Amino acid sequence: MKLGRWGSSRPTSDLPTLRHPPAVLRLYILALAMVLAPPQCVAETDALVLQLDRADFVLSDASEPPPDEAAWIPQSLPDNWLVSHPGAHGYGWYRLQFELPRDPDQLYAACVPLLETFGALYVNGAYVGQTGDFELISRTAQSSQPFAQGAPPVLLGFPPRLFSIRRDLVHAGSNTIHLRVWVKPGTRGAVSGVTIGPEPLVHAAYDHRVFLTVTGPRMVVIGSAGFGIFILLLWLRRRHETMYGYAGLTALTFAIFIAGRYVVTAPFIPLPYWGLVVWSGLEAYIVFMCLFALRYGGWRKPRWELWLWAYLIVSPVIDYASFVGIGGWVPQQWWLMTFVLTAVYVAIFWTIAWKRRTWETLGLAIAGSFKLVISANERLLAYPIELPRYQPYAYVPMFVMIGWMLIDRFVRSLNESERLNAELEERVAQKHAELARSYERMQAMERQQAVVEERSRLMRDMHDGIGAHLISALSLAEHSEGAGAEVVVALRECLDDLRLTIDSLEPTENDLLPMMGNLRYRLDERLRKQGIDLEWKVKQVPELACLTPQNVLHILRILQEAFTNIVKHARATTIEVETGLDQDGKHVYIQVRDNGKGFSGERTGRGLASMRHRAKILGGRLDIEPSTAGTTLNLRLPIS
Amino acid sequence: MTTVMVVEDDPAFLTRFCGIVGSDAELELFAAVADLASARQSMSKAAPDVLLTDLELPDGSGIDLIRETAHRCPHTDIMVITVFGDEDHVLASIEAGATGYILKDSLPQEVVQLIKQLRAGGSPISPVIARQLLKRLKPAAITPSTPGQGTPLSPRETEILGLVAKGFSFGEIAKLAGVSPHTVIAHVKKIYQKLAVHSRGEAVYEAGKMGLI
Repeated sequence: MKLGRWGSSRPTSDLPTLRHPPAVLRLYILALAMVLAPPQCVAETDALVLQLDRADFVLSDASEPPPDEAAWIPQSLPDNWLVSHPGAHGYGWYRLQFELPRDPDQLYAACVPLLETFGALYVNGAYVGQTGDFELISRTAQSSQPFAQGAPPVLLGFPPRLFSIRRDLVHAGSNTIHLRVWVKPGTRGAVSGVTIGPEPLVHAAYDHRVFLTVTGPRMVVIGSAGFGIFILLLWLRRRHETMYGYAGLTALTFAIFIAGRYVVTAPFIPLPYWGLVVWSGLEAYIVFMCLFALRYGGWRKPRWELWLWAYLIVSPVIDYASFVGIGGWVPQQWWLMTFVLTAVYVAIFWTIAWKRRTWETLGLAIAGSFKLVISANERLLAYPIELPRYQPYAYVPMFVMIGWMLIDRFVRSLNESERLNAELEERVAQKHAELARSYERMQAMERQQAVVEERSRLMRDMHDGIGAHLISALSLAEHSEGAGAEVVVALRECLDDLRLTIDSLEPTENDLLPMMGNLRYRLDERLRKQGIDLEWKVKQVPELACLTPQNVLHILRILQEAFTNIVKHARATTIEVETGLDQDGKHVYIQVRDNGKGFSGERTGRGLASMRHRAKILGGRLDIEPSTAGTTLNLRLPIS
Repeated sequence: MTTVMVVEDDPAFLTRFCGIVGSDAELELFAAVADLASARQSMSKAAPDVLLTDLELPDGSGIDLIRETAHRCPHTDIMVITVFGDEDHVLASIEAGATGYILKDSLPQEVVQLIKQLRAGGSPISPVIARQLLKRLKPAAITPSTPGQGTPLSPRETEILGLVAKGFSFGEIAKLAGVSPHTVIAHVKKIYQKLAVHSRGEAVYEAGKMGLI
């Protein structure tokens, strides 16, 4: 029995405060006041219009106005047969008298706002008109389903009646009106006072009455049914919001009830069954309202709900017994249960309003109370003539409130989703910025890491390379006095090594040739002095991904070592340097060929091992092919 | 006779270079100074044919001296004395107006040869520097053609630089390109001058952008 997500768990700060009632509620109250304001009694505004509420009554089958000698008894109007003539049905006559100061000079009219039966009007003994075919109706009434004794009356939507009266029928002085009525068994007879006066004025009063008791209820029925269907469709799409399912059912059953009781004048099924349908509609309406109230309050009361459903199922049976009787059992006061249950849902609404103290809950409680007031009147006054006329409107505040709730929640959830969207976007942007920041941090760290690595590489390099060379030069200078030439050689080696390191730091952009070219540029002069020709047979090769400064240094050292070996040991006259793409297309080769005396044992050793080791670090391979015609050194480097 | 001025703050090297210049019959020492101020003073009236200058001087940068000299004495060939011949130093000098560089530990005959070669219109160039020049002096189509700024390489110059960058010697390039070695080194000197003009243009362009001129 979970309440929908629009339910009670909202933060109170979101709710309209009690200081400002929702505009829609104020508008509605104003409109209600205008429509339901009691019609200004025409007699008060114009002396020509008379409101007749005193009459004489006689129960008589006579088809013409009974003579004055008949058993007339005084009867004030409105007259409710349930009170004044309990159990009576059939024909009755009312006699009303009025005085006119002068002969009328225009068309006259008589309005009977409430004539809950069929009637015929006579003025000064002359027939004016009637509202139905008495004979036909009474004949069909005989054949209709008999009512059980003591069954509640079936209330039908009789419209107000207007009788136009020729002006020559009324005259100055005393006039008499006779109203013949026929009350159908199982219905109640009810006759209101009669308004008589010039036709335009009476007609205005009649129109107002028509609007109140005919047009208004029809509008309510149509609006309520439409509203109910709308909410039910809404609920079909959001099944978990059972509250709205009940609200829709409430509106639909209410429309059935109001249509049956206030709009339909001639039922299309026999009266007792018609009464059954109308009552069942009312009971269903009340049960659904109770269920709605429970869901609205978020109250988990499965047992209560079970009882309500049981009432909804059992009630029509008992109603049937009330109207028609089941084996002689005619429950008399079962209809009072509707009053009890109405009180229940009103109490629920007030409890919720008390707990939550919002305009919405308060509005629902007040709207629900309208019905209680009407029901209380029915209970206290036993079918009062006038008040039930307002019953159709009594439910309207409820639907206005539910409609308002729907709009409110719809707008709120829209706003909420927009806000969430905005929040989400903001969060995404934040995350994005955070990511960018952490990426920057990472990059900075990487840069720092690279700097640290580069520094340690340089340190290592200086230590192993130039440091070692310097130390050997120093020891040469210390121990062999006068061996200046040797010191010069050692120092030159030292400088060469340093230049190699510096060359390795130049940006290569993965281009092998400029880097090799630089080595040649440095060594060319010296080789020439040794009488060695350097033949440069390089070809453009693909970029090598592995050319980091460190790897460049490895390559340069390998090549320098190769040249040094050739110069020192090979006694060659030509060195060919060639580059190209390997046959497999995945490697680049550097070939250094000399025409010296070839490979001999003395050239193995540390230098060669170190060259191979460097080649391995590079992910490549070093091959040395000695022959009598010279030595070929082949270094293969991976492209990627 | 080629007059040579040496600017070097290390007395030993100053002596060494003076000795190298003095030992060759075709070279004549114009002046030997150890700082920027003395160098400026020496060149206030007359200019040497060749200026050899170190970059790190006690009272300023040799780059400034190169720029001033290149501007004031266009007929003076400027050579930078550098320890490693590394890209940063050499390129900065060339941009300032130098057209050659010499390694500090060069043998005397190498120094003399370079000075003479430079005087004859040729400049040395290493493959790595050639590669940088190729990058900086892109063909006209790519460089924004601001008047007076862009001095793009000619196809022949581009070809020569490309070969230098691959490690070929001037002799090999001459054979490959079908010209004399002398033409090749002359091209290199021209390319150096283009870089100098190019970088001045860039400086002007930058200054214009910053609203300085």
